[in-house]
Amino acid sequence: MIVVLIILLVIAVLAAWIVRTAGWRFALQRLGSALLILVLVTFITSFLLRLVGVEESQREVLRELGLSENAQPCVSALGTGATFDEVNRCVDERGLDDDPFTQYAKWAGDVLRGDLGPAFYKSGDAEPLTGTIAQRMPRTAWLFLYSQFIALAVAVPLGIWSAYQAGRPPRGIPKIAWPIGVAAMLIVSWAFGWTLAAVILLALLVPTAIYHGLRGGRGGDTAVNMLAFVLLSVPAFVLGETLRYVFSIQRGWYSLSGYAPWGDGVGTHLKSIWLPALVLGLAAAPVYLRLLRADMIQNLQQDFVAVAKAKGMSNTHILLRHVLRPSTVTLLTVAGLNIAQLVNGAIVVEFIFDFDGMGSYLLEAVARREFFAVQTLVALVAVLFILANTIVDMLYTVVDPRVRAQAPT
Amino acid sequence: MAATTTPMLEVDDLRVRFATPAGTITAVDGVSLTLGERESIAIVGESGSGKSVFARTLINLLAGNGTRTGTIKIGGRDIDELSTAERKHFFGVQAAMVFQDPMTSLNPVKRIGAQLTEAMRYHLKMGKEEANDRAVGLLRQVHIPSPEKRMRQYPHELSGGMRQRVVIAMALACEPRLLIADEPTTALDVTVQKAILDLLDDLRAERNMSLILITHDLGVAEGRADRIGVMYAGRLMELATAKDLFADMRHPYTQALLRSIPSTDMASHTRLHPIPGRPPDLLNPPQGCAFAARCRHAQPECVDIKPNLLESSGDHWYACHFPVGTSEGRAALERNETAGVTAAGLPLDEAAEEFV
Repeated sequence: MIVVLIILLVIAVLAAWIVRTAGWRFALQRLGSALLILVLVTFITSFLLRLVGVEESQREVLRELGLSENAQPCVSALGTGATFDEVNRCVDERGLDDDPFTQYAKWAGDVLRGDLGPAFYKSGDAEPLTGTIAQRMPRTAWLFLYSQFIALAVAVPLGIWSAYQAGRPPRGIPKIAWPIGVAAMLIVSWAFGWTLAAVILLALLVPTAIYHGLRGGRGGDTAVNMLAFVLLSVPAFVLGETLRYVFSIQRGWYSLSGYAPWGDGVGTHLKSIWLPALVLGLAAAPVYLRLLRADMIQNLQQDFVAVAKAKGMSNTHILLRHVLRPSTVTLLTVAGLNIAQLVNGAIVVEFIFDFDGMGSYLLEAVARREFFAVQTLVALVAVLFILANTIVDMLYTVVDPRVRAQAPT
Repeated sequence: MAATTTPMLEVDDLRVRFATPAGTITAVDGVSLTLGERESIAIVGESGSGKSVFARTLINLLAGNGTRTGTIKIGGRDIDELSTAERKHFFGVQAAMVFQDPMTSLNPVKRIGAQLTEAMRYHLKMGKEEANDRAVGLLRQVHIPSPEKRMRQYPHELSGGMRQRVVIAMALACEPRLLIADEPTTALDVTVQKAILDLLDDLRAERNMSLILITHDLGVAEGRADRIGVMYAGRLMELATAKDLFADMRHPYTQALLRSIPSTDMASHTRLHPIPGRPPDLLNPPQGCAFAARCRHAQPECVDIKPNLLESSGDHWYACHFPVGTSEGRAALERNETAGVTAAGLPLDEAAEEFV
């Protein structure tokens, strides 16, 4: 219930904001297109259900059993051991025998009344899907929020710093050192084995990276980029399993006993969630970092930066007050698209950490062929996407006032 | 200028080089210049002559791949010998700059007010109210109507001329004693150009500033500056008071420049004389005079030996072996005309010029 209220509140604030910045006509247009997209997406998902079991052989089997030939989605969801009554009731409830429009109207009516159907048809007690979402959505929402926070906390400072260093003259190591270094390493590893070579490499590389990082120059940018590429190329399950082993099994810093809500105390709550949030955050951070860095580098070439320098403003001021804001457009767009994680969850990470969020529920629903639940979840993703992209569109106007000027009035 | 006052700007043997993948480019090649207080000087040159790099170097805006040698003193202070604390509040306060394109020199996402006041708040430690009041005053001074309203607007809501006025107001915010204007009117309509130049003149008189006006347009320089320097391939070719330069020019390049631009004094259908050839490749600069290849006076000496900028009489400097208006120059031109070709291989056939 609280979740619904929060969503309604967000929508209300958004609507007020749109009306204030862009006027009624723009707001109505925006609302109209959002509704249209929503209806289209949900109708298509509803229609897709009919594609389950279109094969003539399946239909024939169903006919021979005396069931409706459109009953395949229900049969799949209910699984073996379902009675004829259950299947018939399900077909009737879901309007599988009706034409697509009536079927859609039935579903939409149910959803608008707050009835999303059962979470799983197969389980006997038939817990409603609303209950499952109400229980799991907050977990996934917190996970999402923390991971985005971590990603931005890593990506924004590093992105700014590395963009700044990219424009400075290179310092330090002469270019010829690299091939010599690589050759020396190859010889060492050939003669003394790769362990020694790896140790020497680390002993040289880590101090060099730190030195470059502290002294700045283009080497600092290279160091940050290498870090980003390493993070990008490590799959979530490798990082997740490793960190889980180190922090929960060896150290006990992460609690494996499952999600604890805020009510259990901040410490307990954070202890039960920080590690998957970190893994997700570290996966998103390099993407954000690269996007921000690229936009920053581009904007640092602008004339207004030279003007600000000629005014004698400090580098920090120029980076944070002049260049950062117009450089966040791409970052915002991509961060907005990540909102789908609220429903999709982060399937792999939730699985590794036994985190009972939306991701693991979606995984289970798909595995159990509960297509009705999947349909509703897809609709939910669509709602969130539309919401998030509206927010992002509004943020564009905050970031760049020129967008506001172009909005239809 | 009385000898006792410190010159506003002293530049001694300034060289700026850029390391590019293709090689090293010398954009500014040994420029020396002294500018007195309240004096204005115009630096004229075609594109690529290094005048913009010169201007940017003066205000410490050298790109990452550029290196500078030679000294720059602003208000008697060598900019390389400033302490970190002094340096923080030096550029933007002692010297300020107005840029070429007002469409891009304002930050599109910041309000005019914020951009105007930030330097005052940072350098002069003003409070928000005080800086705002002063910014409104500045906008009024550069003749912007309803300045209070403009303060809350964004750059895209202003016309090009208005934006350039804002840029000028911004440069004046911390009361600089030296103003560098890098082609301040190039991106503007002709009618707006005059207004902006008049404004700069008035402000200079009001505020006792020194002004360096960078332009490619001799017409803009004429009557706006006490002295004019003609720059070519990174070197000063001629430097004289405005009156002297137009009345008694010495350098063949200055002459060629004047012959190539139309003037209202000319009879209609007067043929203009474009300068043949192109500026030298800065990656492989010529050994001798940079202008030799395009010069009607060129002699073997010009191709081999770089002339130095020397003072002839009464503050008139030029770098030429065979200057215009001297017997050597006349003799050189005559020799070339007789031969039909200069020592650098440029044909002097008037008929050939018809087809240029």
